[in-house]
Amino acid sequence: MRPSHSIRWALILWNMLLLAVVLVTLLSVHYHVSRKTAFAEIDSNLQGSVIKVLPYLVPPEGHRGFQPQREGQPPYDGQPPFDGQPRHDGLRPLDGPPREFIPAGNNDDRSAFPAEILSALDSAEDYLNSLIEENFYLIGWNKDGTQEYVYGTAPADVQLADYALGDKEQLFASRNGSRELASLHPSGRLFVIGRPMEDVLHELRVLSGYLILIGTAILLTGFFAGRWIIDRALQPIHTISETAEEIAAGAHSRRIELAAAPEELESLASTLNSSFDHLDHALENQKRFSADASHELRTPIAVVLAQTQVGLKRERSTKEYKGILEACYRAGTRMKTMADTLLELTRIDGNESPLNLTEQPLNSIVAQTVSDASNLSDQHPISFKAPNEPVQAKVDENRIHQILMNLMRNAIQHNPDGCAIHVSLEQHTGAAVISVADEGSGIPAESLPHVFERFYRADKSRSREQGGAGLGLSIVQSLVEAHGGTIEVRNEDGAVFTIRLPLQGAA
Amino acid sequence: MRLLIVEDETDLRQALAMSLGDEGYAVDMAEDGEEGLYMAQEWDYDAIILDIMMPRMDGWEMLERLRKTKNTPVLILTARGAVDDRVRGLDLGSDDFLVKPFDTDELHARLRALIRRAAGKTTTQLSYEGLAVDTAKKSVSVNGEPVRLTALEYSMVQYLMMHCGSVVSRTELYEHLFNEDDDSLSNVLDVHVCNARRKLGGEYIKTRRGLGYTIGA
Repeated sequence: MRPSHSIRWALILWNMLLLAVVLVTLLSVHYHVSRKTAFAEIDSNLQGSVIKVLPYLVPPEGHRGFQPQREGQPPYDGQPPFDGQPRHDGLRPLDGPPREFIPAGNNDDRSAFPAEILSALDSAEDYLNSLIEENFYLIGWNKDGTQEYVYGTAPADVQLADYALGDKEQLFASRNGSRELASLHPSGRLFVIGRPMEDVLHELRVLSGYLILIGTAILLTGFFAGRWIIDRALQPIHTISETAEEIAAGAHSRRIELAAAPEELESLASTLNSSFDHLDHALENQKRFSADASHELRTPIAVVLAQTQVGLKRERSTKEYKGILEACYRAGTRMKTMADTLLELTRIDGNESPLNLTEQPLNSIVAQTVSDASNLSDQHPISFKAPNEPVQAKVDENRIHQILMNLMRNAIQHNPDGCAIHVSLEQHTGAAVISVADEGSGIPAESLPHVFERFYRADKSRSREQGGAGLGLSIVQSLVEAHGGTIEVRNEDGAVFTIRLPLQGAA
Repeated sequence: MRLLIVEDETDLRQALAMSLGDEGYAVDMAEDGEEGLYMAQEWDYDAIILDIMMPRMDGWEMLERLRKTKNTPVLILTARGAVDDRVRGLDLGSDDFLVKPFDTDELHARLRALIRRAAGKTTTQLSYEGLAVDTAKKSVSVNGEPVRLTALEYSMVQYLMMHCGSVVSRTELYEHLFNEDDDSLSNVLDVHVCNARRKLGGEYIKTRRGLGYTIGA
């Protein structure tokens, strides 16, 4: 069984394909949502952090600002800045004299600030400290593009040019495993706050690993479950084909069990069963036909053999030899007639001698046949009744003649002298109806269903020599059916044969 | 030996009658089962050759009805050679079955065997005190010397030998040697007996006055 042509494998394949597509979609959606959520969390965290540390980075309104660089110390070098000492040394009111810095330890001027500003400053500083402990970094540029400060372990190659905000006020970006928020302050300053995402990325990797594992597990389960379900669904087909194989192997009487077949296969199974019945029947018919034919041939062969053996046994008189030759001739003629008849039947059935169909009135054909049949016997008066207007039909004249002649000859042979025969032609809707009826004793009821069967002789009291081989009515039936018509027989006053020929579109 | 042929096929019936007549049988013929049954019940035939497919009464029915009154050996000769036909025929009481077309020699041999078995003999050799009859070769010898007999004389000697040890009445002997069409007078029989007795020599054929003839009783 090639997988490419197996329904089972095709179904499994499609099942797996569908499952895989659904799984990949679902799991990647899940992954992306998780990733997005994680990033959004980081981003909002960054944003919140910026807001919280803002008081520390931008001087409050109305103040000049603070100077993160102390006198006597080198400018801030980007190293971890916090050593427990606050960087800012105070803020100057704008109206005060500008001072570049305040010496360490001198916090007197702090009193110049409102307490809430100072406390905001302190808490921002605390928060910044805690951020830096969490490996955040902060970089700031003033509106001139000069870097004002770097807190935390910022990447070394950070440049202002990396953060082209355009007309936006803030921008989230990922850089080297960190998440950054670049934010433009109304004062023209640009802050960048970043945090490493190692932990989140690791979580996401773990998540994706889990998702792949889960996906694989579901796919495997789907494969086995799908195979099981498909096998189960296909089981009746297997059963049907097994039964069919057994029948093909010779168990002609076996049939598919309809009760076991599911609804969808029931019509297939019953169609198969009826085909098997049909074939079985045809086979039986064929067997019987062969047996009957050989049986019918055996008798004349036996005559030839027995007669010739008698003739060859010893010298005989001319008269005796003549008798033997005559018997052999009769037997030979009988075999020839039978062979011809069988051949004709085969030809009609196999459509090898096509009908010569012409459109013509049946009236004259039937009338001619009746007059021909009248010559067969003076003792069987044949009456004929037909409508005045011609019954036009597409028929083979010779075949119709043969059919009717056969029926009338039968009627003459099977009925005693003086028995009348009535032939009638009628036109019904769409069909010409010809009936041949006699006034005899009819056909025995048990024989009625069989009269058209080959080699069937209804009248057992007639010997083969008188009654022929029992093929006449078979030929009649085959010829009528070749015309697309039907023939029936029933008993009324005697036997009545009714032929119906279609008036249009005759076969 | 007298046979009845029941066969509706005229040409075959006549061929059978000729070939069996050549073999020295007295042959009666019937065209169908009804006639056959009547004749079979009327006469004691040595064997009946019976066709199956016949008008009026078929062979099955005739055999079934015949077996109610008679045990005459029956050989069914038919074109229906299927196994179930053979089984049916034998079960209905026929003694042998031959399928058409057949070989006349085989038919003769089967008839001989049938007649032999009916008389309780197992071989074709019949003998009594130096008188030997070979039913296959249809030859008679006395003390090893072949004796030439006419067909009728042979049939008579064979019939008496078949029933060796018992007395055969003149009527019985007559009925088994001549067919129904034969209008020979019964005293013709005495002439044939006389001739046979002369050819065989000795006192093989004995006359039981008022009873009939016998060999060996």
